[in-house]
Amino acid sequence: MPKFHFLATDGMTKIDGHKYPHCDTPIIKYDPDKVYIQAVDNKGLPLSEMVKVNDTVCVGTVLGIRNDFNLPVYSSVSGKVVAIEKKTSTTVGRLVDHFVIENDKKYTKVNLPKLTSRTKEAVVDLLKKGSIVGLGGAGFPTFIKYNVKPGTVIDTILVNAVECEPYLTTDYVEGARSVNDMFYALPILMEIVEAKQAIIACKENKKHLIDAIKNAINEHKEVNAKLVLVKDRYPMGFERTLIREVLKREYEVLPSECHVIENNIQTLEAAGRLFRDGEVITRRVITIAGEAVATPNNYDVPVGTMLNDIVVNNGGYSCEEVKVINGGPMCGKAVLTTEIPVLLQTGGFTILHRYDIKAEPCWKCGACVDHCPMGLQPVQIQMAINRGDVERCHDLQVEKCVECGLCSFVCPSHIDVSANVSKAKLMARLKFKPGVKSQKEEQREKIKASLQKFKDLFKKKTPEEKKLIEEKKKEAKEAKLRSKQQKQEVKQTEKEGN
Amino acid sequence: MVKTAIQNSPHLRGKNSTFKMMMEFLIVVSILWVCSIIYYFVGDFANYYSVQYGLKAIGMGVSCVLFAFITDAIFYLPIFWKDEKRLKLAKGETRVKSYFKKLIFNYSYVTGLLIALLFPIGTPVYVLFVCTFISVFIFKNLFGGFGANIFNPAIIGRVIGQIAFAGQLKTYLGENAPTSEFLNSGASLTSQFAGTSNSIGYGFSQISTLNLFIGNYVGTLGETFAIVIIILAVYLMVRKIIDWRVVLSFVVTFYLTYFLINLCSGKGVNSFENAFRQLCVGGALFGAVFCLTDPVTSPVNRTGKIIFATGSALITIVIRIFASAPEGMAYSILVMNMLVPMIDYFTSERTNKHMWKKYTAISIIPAASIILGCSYGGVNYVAPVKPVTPTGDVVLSKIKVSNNYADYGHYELNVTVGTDFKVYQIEILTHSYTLEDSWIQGGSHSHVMETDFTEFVNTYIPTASKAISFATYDNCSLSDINNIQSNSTEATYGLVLAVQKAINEYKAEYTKITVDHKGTQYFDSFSGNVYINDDKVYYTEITDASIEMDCTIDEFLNGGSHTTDTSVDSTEFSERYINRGDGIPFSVFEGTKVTVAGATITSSGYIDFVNEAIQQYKASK
Ligand code: SF4
Ligand code: SF4
Repeated sequence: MPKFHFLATDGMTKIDGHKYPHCDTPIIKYDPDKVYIQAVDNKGLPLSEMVKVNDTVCVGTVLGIRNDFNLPVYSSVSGKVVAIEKKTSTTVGRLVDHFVIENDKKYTKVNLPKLTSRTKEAVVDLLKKGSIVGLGGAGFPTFIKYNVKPGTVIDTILVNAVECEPYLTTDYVEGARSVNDMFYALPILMEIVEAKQAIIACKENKKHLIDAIKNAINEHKEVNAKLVLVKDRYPMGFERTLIREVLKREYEVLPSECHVIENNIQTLEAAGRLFRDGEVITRRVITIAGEAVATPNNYDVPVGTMLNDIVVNNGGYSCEEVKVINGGPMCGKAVLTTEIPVLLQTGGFTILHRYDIKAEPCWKCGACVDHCPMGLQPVQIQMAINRGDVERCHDLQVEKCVECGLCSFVCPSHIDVSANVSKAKLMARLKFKPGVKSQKEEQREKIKASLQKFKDLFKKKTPEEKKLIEEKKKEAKEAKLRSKQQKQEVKQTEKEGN
Repeated sequence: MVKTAIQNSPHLRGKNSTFKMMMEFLIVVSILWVCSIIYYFVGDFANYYSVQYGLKAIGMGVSCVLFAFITDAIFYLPIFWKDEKRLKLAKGETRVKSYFKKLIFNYSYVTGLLIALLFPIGTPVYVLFVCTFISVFIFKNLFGGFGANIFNPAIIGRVIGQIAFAGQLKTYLGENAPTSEFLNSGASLTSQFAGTSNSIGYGFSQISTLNLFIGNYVGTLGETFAIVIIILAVYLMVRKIIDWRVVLSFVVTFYLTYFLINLCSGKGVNSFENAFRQLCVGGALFGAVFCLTDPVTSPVNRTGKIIFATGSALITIVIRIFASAPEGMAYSILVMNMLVPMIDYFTSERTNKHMWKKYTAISIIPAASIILGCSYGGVNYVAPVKPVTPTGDVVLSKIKVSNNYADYGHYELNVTVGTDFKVYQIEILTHSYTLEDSWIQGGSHSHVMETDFTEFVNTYIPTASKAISFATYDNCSLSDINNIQSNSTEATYGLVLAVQKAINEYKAEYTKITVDHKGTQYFDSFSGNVYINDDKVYYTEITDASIEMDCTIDEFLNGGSHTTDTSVDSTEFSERYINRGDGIPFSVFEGTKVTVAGATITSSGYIDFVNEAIQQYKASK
């Protein structure tokens, strides 16, 4: 039974998953001749302590340190750094420097030290050293999530194995393959944040993964873990939606506000390997699917493998003009070239035909409003931004948009609503930096302030406050008198002058 | 290398499309149209006309769609030369293509069909043309075409027709209505409502509830088939082409308010039916399902939609109660259309936050309409008349009758009658539109203020102090009613007819013996009916008598003196031989010779007459 919403937004809709047949075929291992690893951080600034060209590296050698979060960047293959070339980066969005490492296919490894003490400091430090980031697609460093401020209560670790994007299946195949690694990490992480339970959320139609998780839960009885099945809806895998659906909690900025830490299943598995063996993330399972590839499949590749290499060596494209989407088709951005390397956080690529849809006028049907998971009103935002009213967009809280693309998906007129909303979001962000307020907000604050004053009138006052008020009154009186006198003096002088 | 393309995410789109939804909507509306065509072809309202009627129904739909298309074609003609500014005119073919695409994606033909369904069968074609043209050209295309119009174009067309061509809107072809089933003029039933009383009670009485429900009457083309509209609405709601919140919140608010109005004015269980009738008439259902739900002219979010629908319900009710204007529904939709931007503005906060605020917002209007309903009903409360306390052993029984005369109005009554064959109380449950509720207590029953109805009420309405004998009603004819000086109308005769019906029903419980008693030299002859039950005589109904007395037969039967001889006291006679409630045993009559003081030759004739009836009764057993 889908949940019934009388006034609130449905927040989700059913989207055909397109996950068959590649979710059931075995993972293909692919070893490239060269890998390309980004030599800048996510802001486009160069790494510090970079290795030089012609240096020999092993799997797990530090290539440099990212400046934005101080995360090390590891080599994913063993071999020689042959050059630094400009390649398209999907995170920065332009051509940036990449290490080119020739793969000697020996995969000699250097590992980090294993986790020895289970203190919060040690764990967070190792997470940071191991450069564990969110593998669900966002690439947010995991150590920040676990470096909780003292005083914050965390009671639940939510493991996200939902993967609501169509086409993508990595959480499904890789999650099931190494689920035991996760159960190595879970008790440690639960211990350091003092969480009482772990909840693993999984879509109800993913049979293999469900079985794997159930078995693992039975094996690891000491971990207080629970499997929760959710419906096959989009965007169920989004942090907010998932927490709302599974735990019935809401938060403003971070999930820790409602005592939850949310992690992707692959992230925790990587963390488990790191804790147990000191292994850093060097290989990834990615999905390459879509109508425009001949054989959709899951590939186990080293980080930095070029997309084009994988596709060309495994069946190739099925048509001339394609659309390469970094990630799933709903939130993934189309990229201009097939020459893009796999990043740590890349979950897959969707390669589709180009298609043209003719937009009809918006007929204000409200379908977008009825589905937006954030409860925004995309149609109103769109109308406001089309007439250039950024302030109204801000009042409509456009900054809350999570760019899930659902509004465009459901729009019967096939308007690019979410593109318009993102534009509005960008402009509103630029115009209303923290501290800048729109007229409406100012008015609201004024009303609040006057209400507060009104309330203060009826408050009981301590004698000190009374004294203060009296003094203020006196001062005001004196000031009045003074100003009067001054005026009179001015007048007199004027008269005299005349 | 393959070529790559860049497009905006998301790269998947839902299968739903506006075009598909509009086409489905169009098909659903056409089903309604087909229903009306069938009705006009097979309707038994005027056999020799019906082919003509059916053809007209087809013609109206086709011509409205055509007119809408032509209007669009004229308006969008400039598209042909649109590219000229850039100094290179596109190929003729592409231009024609884009032109026709525009015509198809403007969906004016849907508007056209809706307009056709909103007009009655007798509407001349030029009226349809003018209405369609104005609504599509000015109120749709000038505002920016599909998606940008403020007012519902179909409703605009209807209102223009109502305002400008009220006289031309007839529900029949030709000069005069073939039968009285047809409405006089104006389109929907609301225009037939004259005055405030309609909001309470049965409303438009000529048509029974069943006929209103299945659409077996002549109104506008599409508004009449309540049951079809309901089925189509359910289909549209299930397919999510219209929002069920709009339809349901309208219907619930509307029904509840009318129910409360009726309940508070003392209509009892009939309130359910009366409120339902209000929903069926005047295009309320049609408007709620096909016009109120138009996404273009309704708010975008769910809270707004509910406020919009309930607001429309409230305005419709207010117009129907206080303004007696026809088409309250249409005006209310237009008014709410104007308020849509405001509603959108005030409901623009995030839809999943501050739910209590939203629930408060949507409950304000229903609360207001409930208060309105209760207070309006309460102000118009009519207490049931207290019955006479019967004397003697009279047993009262209540008979419910309803009659429906095209000429004499509709009544549904509870008539309380006694075993002494008198009417003790008349309760009006529902009645036709020409009567005020309070007239039965002696007030005016007509909106014509000069009409004084006291005499009728005195004669025919039992009060707390007097019951009225059956004979009064039995002997009443239309001319009697007309002879009452007080401008009594035909509708009041309908009441008498209804009471007569109740009386006849009651009499049927008795054995009726018809006797034609020949008198003798001394004794008068009587003929008439004697009503017998369980070996007792209850009532004699004298149709003819060679009577020689100072009182009428009626007075005689009611115990009046029947002789001029003042020394004769007939009280004892009447006390013994005229029923006082519990019937007179046969033995009283049998073997009685005229010995009682005051009995005269005349009364002896009466006794013989009854005796003869008794004998016949016994013989028949
Ligand atoms: S893209 Fe933004 S506005 Fe559109 S549905 Fe998602 S959250 Fe709402
Ligand atoms: S879903 Fe599309 S057509 Fe409907 S209101 Fe939103 S933008 Fe307009």
